[in-house]
Amino acid sequence: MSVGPWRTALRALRRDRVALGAAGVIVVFALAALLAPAIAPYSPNAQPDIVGMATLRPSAAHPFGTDVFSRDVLSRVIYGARVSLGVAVLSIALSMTIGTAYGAIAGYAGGATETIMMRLIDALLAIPRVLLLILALALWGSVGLPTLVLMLGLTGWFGTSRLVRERVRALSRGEFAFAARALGASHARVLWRHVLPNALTPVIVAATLGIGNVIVLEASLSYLGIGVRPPNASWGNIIQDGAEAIASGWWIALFPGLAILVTVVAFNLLGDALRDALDPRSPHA
Amino acid sequence: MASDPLLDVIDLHTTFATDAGPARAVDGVSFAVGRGETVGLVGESGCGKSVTALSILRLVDGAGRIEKGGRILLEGRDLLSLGEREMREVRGNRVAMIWQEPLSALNPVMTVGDQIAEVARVHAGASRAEAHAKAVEMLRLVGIADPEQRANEYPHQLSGGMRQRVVIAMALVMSPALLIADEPTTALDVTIQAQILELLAEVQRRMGMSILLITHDLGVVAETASRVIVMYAGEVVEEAGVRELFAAAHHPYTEGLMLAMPRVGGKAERLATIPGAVPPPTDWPHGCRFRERCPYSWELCEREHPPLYQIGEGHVSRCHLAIEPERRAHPHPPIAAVVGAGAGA
Amino acid sequence: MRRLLAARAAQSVVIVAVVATVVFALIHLAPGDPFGAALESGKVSPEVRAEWRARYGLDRPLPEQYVRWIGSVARGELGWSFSRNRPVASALAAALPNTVVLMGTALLLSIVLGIAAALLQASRRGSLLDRGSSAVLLVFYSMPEFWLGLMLLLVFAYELPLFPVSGVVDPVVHEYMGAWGRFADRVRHLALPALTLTLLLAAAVARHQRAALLDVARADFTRTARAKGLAPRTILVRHALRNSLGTTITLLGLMFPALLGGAVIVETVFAWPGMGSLATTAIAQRDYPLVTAIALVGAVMTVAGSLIADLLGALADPRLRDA
Repeated sequence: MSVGPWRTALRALRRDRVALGAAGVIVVFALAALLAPAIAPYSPNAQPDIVGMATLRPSAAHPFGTDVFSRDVLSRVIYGARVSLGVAVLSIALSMTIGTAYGAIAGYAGGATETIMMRLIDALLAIPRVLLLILALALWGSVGLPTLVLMLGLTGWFGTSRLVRERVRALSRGEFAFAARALGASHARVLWRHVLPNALTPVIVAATLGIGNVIVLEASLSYLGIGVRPPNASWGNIIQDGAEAIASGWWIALFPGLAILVTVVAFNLLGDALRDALDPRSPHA
Repeated sequence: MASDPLLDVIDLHTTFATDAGPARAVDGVSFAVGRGETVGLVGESGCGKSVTALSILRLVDGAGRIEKGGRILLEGRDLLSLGEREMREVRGNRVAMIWQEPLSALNPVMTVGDQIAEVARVHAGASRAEAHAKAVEMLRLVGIADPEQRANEYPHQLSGGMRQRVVIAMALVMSPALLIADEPTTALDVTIQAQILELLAEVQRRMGMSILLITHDLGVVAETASRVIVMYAGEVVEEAGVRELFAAAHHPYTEGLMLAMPRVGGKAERLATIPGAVPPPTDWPHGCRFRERCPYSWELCEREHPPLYQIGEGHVSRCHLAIEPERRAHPHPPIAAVVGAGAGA
Repeated sequence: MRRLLAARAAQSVVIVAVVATVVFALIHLAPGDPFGAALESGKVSPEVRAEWRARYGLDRPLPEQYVRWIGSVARGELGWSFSRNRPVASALAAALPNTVVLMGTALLLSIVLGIAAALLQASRRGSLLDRGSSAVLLVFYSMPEFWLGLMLLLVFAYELPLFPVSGVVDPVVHEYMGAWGRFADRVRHLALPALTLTLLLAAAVARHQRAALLDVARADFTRTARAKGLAPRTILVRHALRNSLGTTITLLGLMFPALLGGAVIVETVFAWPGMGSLATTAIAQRDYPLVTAIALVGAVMTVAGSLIADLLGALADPRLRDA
């Protein structure tokens, strides 16, 4: 298994200050999410004074203000990081696994199998993901977080399967795969030990960029009221609360949105840098 | 050498900035091309011949720079002193350049006719109709059948040989005084190669054009050039009339190139190769740059960088054998060969 | 070219069939009876109930239900929307044009702005302008649409009352305006939602187009163009741009689903009466025929969009015409 390209890529990445900065931001947010109970100034659902403390402007006591239910927005945003980041990371992990498996099998099998499998992907990619999720969530009704992760994961693997299939296709027709088989390796072994490790680079890039996409997607669904539901705080449903009070409490919608923006920008920067380091020839789509 | 050369390159230095320091790709090259002459510029890849050509048209970009001090005189005017706008009037107009791979040299989304016509519109201010007519005329000139039809086709619809003809047509629209051809036939089949060379010769006869033909293939040079310049490691190492060169090459590098040429009808022996490799342009060796690969080198070659010695009428060579010709009788294994052999296998 | 068209048209039909199948599968995989809620709500008349039974074959085995479903989709029969008390097709017909107007405006503006921005960046590559605008574009590209919409609403409708808050036309005075006034009213209402979509899509287009232009700049034919004595601006526009437009058109085709998804969300922010608003109210009222139809129509629009993108791409790049 060749580690050469990986090592050179990591070295290149270490020199890229923008990428390092982005990675740093992501680490900070991830830590904040993990350590939420420790660093959030208040409990996210605490409503100490429902009337007196509702919709307060940002102040020293409440840096992000309070919402219409007198909850501290900063604490909700920190706890929201847990949900938004957690859902995104888990669903991406699911998508990448399914997509890689599907694409690898299609690319390796070749022939009619491959064609049929990829035509199916063409069809699945035609459906706008948002509409598909809206339909599914409408049909299933109120879903818990695990089901939401499942749904996001099951709708997000189509593009990855294409990437992997292309790579696997090229690699498995290559000579070293043929040589391995000539030495007696089974199909599975060739695929697993020889082809896949080299096919994974576009997946890493896609995963990084994908996390940003899913964060926005989940936020959109939560904003519409069909994603993460209260009392769980996600950045999206905090913005939903903020939308209803937009005229009187602009901070409620502003800060979670900024959190999303900063996180997604960081993932995009990191993803772009990874792509330049690992896959310089790929088209910048 | 005619006293009024069309092109006179004087002490050209072109340097590239690289991670490993400045690479002196062209390191003090001087030569001239007369009117109506075909001059061959020969050398292996990395010797600086392509960069020399690019430097003439000032198309060296990115990390490359032409150093001050050199001059490139075209019909008496120093191209290096021109502003960019004036230079654009020279390109495609007085001096044209063609390259090796015609498919990538042509814009895939424009018709062949449009690309040729573009030259006329830019340099001669021709109208669309006039330029189109000129394009058709040029296609006919380069021997493409049914030029009206072809002018409306796209590059990918033509064969390799036809594409190179199109590229030549594009270069000749303004009847340039000088055509620089960088490996124009390398990417083509042998039969097509011959056709293209013949086309170039014919066009030259008709238009009185000079050609600077850059190639690594001595066979091509033998057929088309009247004078040959051999380059190595960023320098001119030999220059002579074509017959003289093939009959009595002086520089050991040129000798090596000749021996490495496969010859039909000769004895079926193993082809000779020149052991070792071209040194890196970031680090030209002291003294003669060919020393380590040369079968005749001695201490002088390491101490002193050889100048261009006059060997005969119109024949120069950058080799100390000019002053100690008797050493040619005692060849020895080149240093590079010994070192290479010692390093196992 | 004609062969390309025929092949893609055939593919499109297959894709729609697959989409219809996926929708069917979802309906039947979901827990509970999708029509149960409607039937119990009492809002459904016996006639409609009978019609459903007939169309969807609710009491029949699954394969038969599937055939009936595909059949009705193929015939374009989309059923009855009980939340709106009219045929689904009619509800869609009212909403679809609004979505199309919104998407179309955003698409046009994005193409113009995106390509202009990319040209500007590519011609001043590496400069502060280039790098600064790349950063700005990245920020817009990374934003959630609904949030951008909310912020624009906040600033330009609430804080500075320049634009209306919602809707397509002014509910009160639109009728009384002259032709010019009515047009202006529509534009004012369209402005913010379209701007929201445009900013995001234009950023994506600009990023992609800039990369494509720079790729082309390194290509051999650019060197040939310089050797012909062409000016840099000519090379950029006449050669580089024409060459890279093909990839951008392909990108737009690929982004169509995302654009539609984005429009759906933006509509809810601005209460723009298009498919998005229709979908959210349909969900709230558990009007499954309507939600299903929206998903289907959305998919069909996407397929149509990508077909058009492919055809335009073939026009731009002659190499694709014989594919």
